[in-house]
Amino acid sequence: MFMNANLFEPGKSKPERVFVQSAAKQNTRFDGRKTSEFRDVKLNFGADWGTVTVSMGDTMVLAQVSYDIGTPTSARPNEGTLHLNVDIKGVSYLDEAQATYDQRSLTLNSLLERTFRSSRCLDLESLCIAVEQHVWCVRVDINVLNHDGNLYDASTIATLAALMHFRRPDVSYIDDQIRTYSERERELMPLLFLHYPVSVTYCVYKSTPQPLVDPTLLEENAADSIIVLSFNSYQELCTLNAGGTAPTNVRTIMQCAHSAARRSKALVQFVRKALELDMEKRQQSKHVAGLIDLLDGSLSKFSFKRLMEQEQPMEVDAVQPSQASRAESEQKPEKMTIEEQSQAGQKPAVKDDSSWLPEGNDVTQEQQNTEQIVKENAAKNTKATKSKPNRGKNKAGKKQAAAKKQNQSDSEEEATHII
Amino acid sequence: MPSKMKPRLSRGVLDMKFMQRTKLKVAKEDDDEQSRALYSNELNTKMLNSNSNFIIEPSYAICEGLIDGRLSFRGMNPEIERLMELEQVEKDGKSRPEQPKEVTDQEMVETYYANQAPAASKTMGKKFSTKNEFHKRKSNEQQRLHKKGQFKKPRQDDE
Amino acid sequence: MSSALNIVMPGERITAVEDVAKGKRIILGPGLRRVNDTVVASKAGPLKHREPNTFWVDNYQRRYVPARGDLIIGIIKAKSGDVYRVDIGSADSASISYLAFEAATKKNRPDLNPGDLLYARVLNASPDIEPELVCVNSNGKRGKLGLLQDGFFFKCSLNLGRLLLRENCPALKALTEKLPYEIAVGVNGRIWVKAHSAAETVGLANAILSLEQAGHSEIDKVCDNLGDVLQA
Repeated sequence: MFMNANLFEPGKSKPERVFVQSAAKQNTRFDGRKTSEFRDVKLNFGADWGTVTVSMGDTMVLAQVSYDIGTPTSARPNEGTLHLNVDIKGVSYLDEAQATYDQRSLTLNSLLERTFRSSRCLDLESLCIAVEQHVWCVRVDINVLNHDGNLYDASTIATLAALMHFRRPDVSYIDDQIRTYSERERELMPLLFLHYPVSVTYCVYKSTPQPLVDPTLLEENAADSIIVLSFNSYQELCTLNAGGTAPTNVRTIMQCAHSAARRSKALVQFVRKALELDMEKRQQSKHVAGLIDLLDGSLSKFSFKRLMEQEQPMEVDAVQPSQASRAESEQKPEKMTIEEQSQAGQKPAVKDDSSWLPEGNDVTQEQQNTEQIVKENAAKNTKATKSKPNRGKNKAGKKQAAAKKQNQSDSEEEATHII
Repeated sequence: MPSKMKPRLSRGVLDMKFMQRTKLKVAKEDDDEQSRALYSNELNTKMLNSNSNFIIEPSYAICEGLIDGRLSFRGMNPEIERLMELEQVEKDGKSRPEQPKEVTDQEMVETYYANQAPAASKTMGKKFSTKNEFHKRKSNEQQRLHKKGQFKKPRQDDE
Repeated sequence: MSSALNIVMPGERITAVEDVAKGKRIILGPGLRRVNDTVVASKAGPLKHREPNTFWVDNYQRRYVPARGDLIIGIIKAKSGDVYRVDIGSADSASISYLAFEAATKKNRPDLNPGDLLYARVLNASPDIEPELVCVNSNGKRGKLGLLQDGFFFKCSLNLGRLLLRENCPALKALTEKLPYEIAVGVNGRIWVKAHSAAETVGLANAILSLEQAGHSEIDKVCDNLGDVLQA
């Protein structure tokens, strides 16, 4: 917190960048963590339903769910809507222009859109009251309270926890009349989920093949590229966001994916547990302290490390690729379809699904994977605004990129869950 | 009033090489006069005549007497350490008079004169004195020497 | 008075200083302001006094306000015309001329790029114009000023920077016993350190940051533990 409190953020000077690079090479991190060690995640529920703060180290994010009854879109008349709104302006050292147009803000926004909206994690049909007339509009406001790196993970955890915590009142629709029942009349209803996605972030440096997990702001700013993977609790890939200039081979990405998948599963478990404890607390006493705890720092927070202690020791340390993928292949469901947009210039190894989803991992396959595919995702900015509807437009953009004859490859994957 | 008008040096004179310092001085005077004229309606006599006992110093570094922040220890950067040493020596040099003296000033004077050190200056002085004075002193000295020999020694012996 | 902790609040009239001022000339440091013949505090914090005649308020602050003569660390942000723009943590960015370096001429310009760190002196600072820096002393020599290469750089409160720069600071002495290192402390709350290895540098930086919470009085106690921080 001390380092961020000045006007300009860390990681912008050359000595810092050089130092972080060389430290990453020696597997040293400024806060003494290992390369694959996460910071403790702490959850804190507010007095209202759907209010959650998540803190990871000095990073702190507040998510607040609100609801409204509105009309559905004509394209999907029987579905409610989910709106995500990110506010990064609370971070004091970003000036107005940076906060609004900064790449960071755009990336975060698109990551959340893809993780929660495009992956259809909420059962939006259950939010329908009357087809083509009335639906629930759920809105999540994500406020960044302090930024010390890895806003992505903190925001996705906060959003997921807030949505899971949220309760809406029951309604009935009789004779063109909506009747909303108060809490006393009928019990409040939780939202229905199809799956529970969270993201895990990695930093890649040119100096070392070993990516750093859960980067601080210093590490993030000094990184050559940042990989964000969203997995749901079934260990299905929801979003992959890889950008920057560091050459990353398939093996590294696979390695990240394996550990991210397990991490995501653990995180969702953790959120569930925290919710249970919160429910118990609420039933015991009417009085809920809410976020006032944040001010005095008293520990009613749910800490990842404390809650998950008794669970099987979470493998957060360095992934042994062979072991991991073996475990992975057993669990990986086949029902996942990956819409892969790959460029003409991309090597076939990436197109080959089998190399992405290794089944019964053997040595030859790994060697195949190690064929380095240099990814220079300079086109990250354009990608950040992508979403399903304007895909056609993106393809046009890609042709331009191909015409430039750069060794660029865009990899964006979205898993559509088949129900 | 022409009598109070200050005589001004012409530009030609001021442009001469040896007049550069004067030129600066004249320019500064002009400047001061102009600024005085500019603020004349805002400044009152009290402000002009007040003799304040306050000096404003906005720098913490000067107030607290902070050292230079560029330091090196145990041979990390020899260049910086050499500069630090030089600074230290300079500082020590200034503070040397405060060291305790083995010989006080009074003692020093006494021994100095006791050793007849000013004799040399005396001999030089003789050279420039007139003949008359010279003789006078010579006789005096002889007398004194004579007296001394006669007077002092027996006394010491007495004691 | 210098020993007793005397907290003043902004707007408070400080008669103690006025009394001293009747007898002799005094220097009013930051946080004190003269209003006609009275002395008024403009910052909150303990009132400090240094012999013979200096008074100031030592308030907790993170934002640097440039003052003439300060030695600071700046980050080069851009080149523009004949000057570099330097971020020194103040409201306005500072400028340093190409010619304000040792042996620099119009043709022989220093080779500095955005992101480089400079240890420089504030040449002039006024609320109305942007601060100007120099990297040479009055003899045109570099001295200790100039580019800081390698090492690690971090930010802290202005108070911590000043704490380290007091004469005979126990913290630096305690660290010297543990390992050889090089340090540049800017009074603008920025610190650059360099040790032989990355692990040592990390330990050093963490040790210095652990002093952040220490006051002038507890510093000795904290310094005893610095070795432990270094090991961790």
